[in-house]
Amino acid sequence: MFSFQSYIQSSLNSIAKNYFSTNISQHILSIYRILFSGMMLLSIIRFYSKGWIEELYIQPTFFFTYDGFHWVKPLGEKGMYVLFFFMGLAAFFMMVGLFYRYASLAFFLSFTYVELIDKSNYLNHYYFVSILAFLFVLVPAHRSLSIDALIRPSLHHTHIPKWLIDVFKLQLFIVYFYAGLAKINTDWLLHALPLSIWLPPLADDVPIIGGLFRYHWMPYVFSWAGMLYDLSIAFLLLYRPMRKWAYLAVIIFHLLTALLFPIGMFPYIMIICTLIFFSEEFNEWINQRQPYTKVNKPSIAPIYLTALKWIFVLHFCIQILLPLRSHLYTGNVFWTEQGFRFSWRVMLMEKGGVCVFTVKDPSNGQEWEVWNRDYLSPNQIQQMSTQPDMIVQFAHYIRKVYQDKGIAEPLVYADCMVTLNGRRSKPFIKEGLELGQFKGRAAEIVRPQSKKAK
Amino acid sequence: MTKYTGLLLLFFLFTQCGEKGEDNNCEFDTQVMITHFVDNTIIPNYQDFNEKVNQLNNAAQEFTNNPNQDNLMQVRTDWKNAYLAYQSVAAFEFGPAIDNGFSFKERLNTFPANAPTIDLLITEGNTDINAQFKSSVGFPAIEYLLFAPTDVNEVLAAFTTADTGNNRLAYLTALTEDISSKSQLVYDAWVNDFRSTFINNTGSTDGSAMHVFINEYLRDYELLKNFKFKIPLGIFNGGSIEPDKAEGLYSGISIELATANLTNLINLYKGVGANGQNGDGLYDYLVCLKAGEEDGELLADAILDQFEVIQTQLNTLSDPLTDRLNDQKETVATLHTELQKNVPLLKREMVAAFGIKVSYQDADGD
Repeated sequence: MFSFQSYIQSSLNSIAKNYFSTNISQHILSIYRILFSGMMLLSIIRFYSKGWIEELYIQPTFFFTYDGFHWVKPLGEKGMYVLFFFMGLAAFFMMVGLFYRYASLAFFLSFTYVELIDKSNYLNHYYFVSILAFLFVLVPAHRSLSIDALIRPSLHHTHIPKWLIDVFKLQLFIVYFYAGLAKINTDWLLHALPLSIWLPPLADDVPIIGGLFRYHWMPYVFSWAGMLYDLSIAFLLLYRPMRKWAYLAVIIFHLLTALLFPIGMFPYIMIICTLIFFSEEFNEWINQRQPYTKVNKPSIAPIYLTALKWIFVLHFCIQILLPLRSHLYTGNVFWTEQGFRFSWRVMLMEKGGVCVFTVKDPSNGQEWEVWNRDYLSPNQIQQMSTQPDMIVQFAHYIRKVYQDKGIAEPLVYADCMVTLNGRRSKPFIKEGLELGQFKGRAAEIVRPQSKKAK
Repeated sequence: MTKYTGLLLLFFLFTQCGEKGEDNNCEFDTQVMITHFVDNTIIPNYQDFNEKVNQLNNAAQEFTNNPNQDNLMQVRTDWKNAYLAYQSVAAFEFGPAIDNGFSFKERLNTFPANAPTIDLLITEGNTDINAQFKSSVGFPAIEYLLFAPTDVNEVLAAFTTADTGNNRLAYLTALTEDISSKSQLVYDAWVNDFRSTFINNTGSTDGSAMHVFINEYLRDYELLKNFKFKIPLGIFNGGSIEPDKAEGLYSGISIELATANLTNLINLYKGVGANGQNGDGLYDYLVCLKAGEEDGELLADAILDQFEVIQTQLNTLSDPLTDRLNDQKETVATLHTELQKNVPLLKREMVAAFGIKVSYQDADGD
């Protein structure tokens, strides 16, 4: 008997089959590759010319490594410059499409390696670049408009499966949507924080609209618009009739953030990356301009395609679940920062802290305050002062330093005052907690966020 | 299109709120505040300092011509007056104070002075001040010459009867001339071009007058806390006091110097000029921004209250600090703790409210 269930199943199957067998112009992915790696090359040159290689990876003596990646170490002065040169070279090879497979892998690995050296340099947009670079390693973005395809014409494709383009859209969708979800909190929506802190002082710095920042309702407009933008923009970009307008919104939104905040290349990277949503239009345009006499079917091995599918499934499961992990923990994620990184919590808080570390020698009662600048850069101090896991890491390091100075059992304490979103500073670390040998979860060292400071 | 209608609605909604709560909008012109600082504090303070430095220089010349006890006492008095006046320009380490190839702060007030090096330079007859390390020049070096050893007759003898007496006199005048010429340079620059350059550098971004001013204000506050109290207290030294690292070590005027320094910082905070003129200060800007309001108390008042606590605590101490470190260590330690308590308020909360980046390092954010 004909069953409804099997009917649904077979329709779904055919939809899936249709979806996975739809092809699209290879040029789309190739151009996307050129744009992405071109921007990466520029970013690397910018990073170098600002002297940040020296400042962030050579000068510091201590680095806040990530759990599971403690083996990632800076490579010394020569090593770091070589690594960045190598990274730039990889980006260049990616751009021109020479030895693309190796170049994209080299770029992904070198970029990610650098990002893993020090937590103090964590930025969501670096994480975003790492992910995109990873996706580029997996897709055949060199099958046209590349030296590879020029040298070996057999590599040349006119078409690739459409879903290989869609993975980029899905990734962007996740980034925007989670960034929007993260904005649904009382501070952002009901108190317009931290924008109420950030916008008014910019009144004199920003042309034309700057004067509006003096009005207390302006941060509310920006907060709500930002939240609605992040939540809806991917949907609007996917919906063809709205696409052009949505992209206009993308440009306005990111240029505005570039104008207001010191966020470097990120706005431009997003403006370029969201172009991928125009793949349909581009495909039609290219077909009209230069109709293919012969469709060069992709000759990607089915096993490889299946493997790819599973890698993507796994990747996106992680992408969807990872940002939600903070909900497993108690406490305010903005205060404890447990599950804060890798979650697209972008420009969400104004947080600052002052941390004073004290070392005690229990054998004779002597006490030293640690001069943080002896061991950390100003940037590292600033980042550490509000992030418990970094405070613990530094305390462990200080213990070692004082052991090397000849104190057998130095006890390390931290007295930190932290201000979040313009609220008065509160004591951040539990009183009298020894941190030099602290082994638990970093968030456990944090005092619950009390209303009133003592 | 619904999205845009929604946005328009929201816009309308908040415009309405805005009209109801008109007093919530902060209309504060930081340029007015900076101008007030420049005209009523920075320039008058530099002028006063410059005059006192010239007096010191003249007294040193007079003493060189007639090295007697009266003239020595005059140099000491003028040195003290100039050093006290310096405390009120110490916070302005920007513009001409750093743009002329030297750091005003480092060349004028690096303490403690390096006595052995100074002795060596005198023995050698070396008076090339600019070639020397910062710890051999400036007020602390002069202090060493004028106040060590403690017996005034011995000091006089070192300038007169000693073999190196003339060299010592020469080094002294070289030091006062150096301060005098640097001071003149900085003062002239402020009066001529820098005043308008600075005032017209509006906004709050990196390099703006506000950014530069606030950063140096904070640095001066930290220097007051760290170098005048924390280090002598031995807090970096396992708790063993280090009186020989105090400012005003030989003359025994550490607390007087610190008081002058603190007074200048408090006056800038309140917006009180050198001659008592009232104007916009950091306090007023914070009030306007309604920063950090909690249980009816504003951040602006919390900082002010803490400044008062600090001032009161400082007033309970009397010079010399080196003695107080021995007999009233707890009181000095409490003063340091109170100074420390204002750090997060000033350096994190106030700065965030002003939209100023505290940084000696440039980096992207996200």
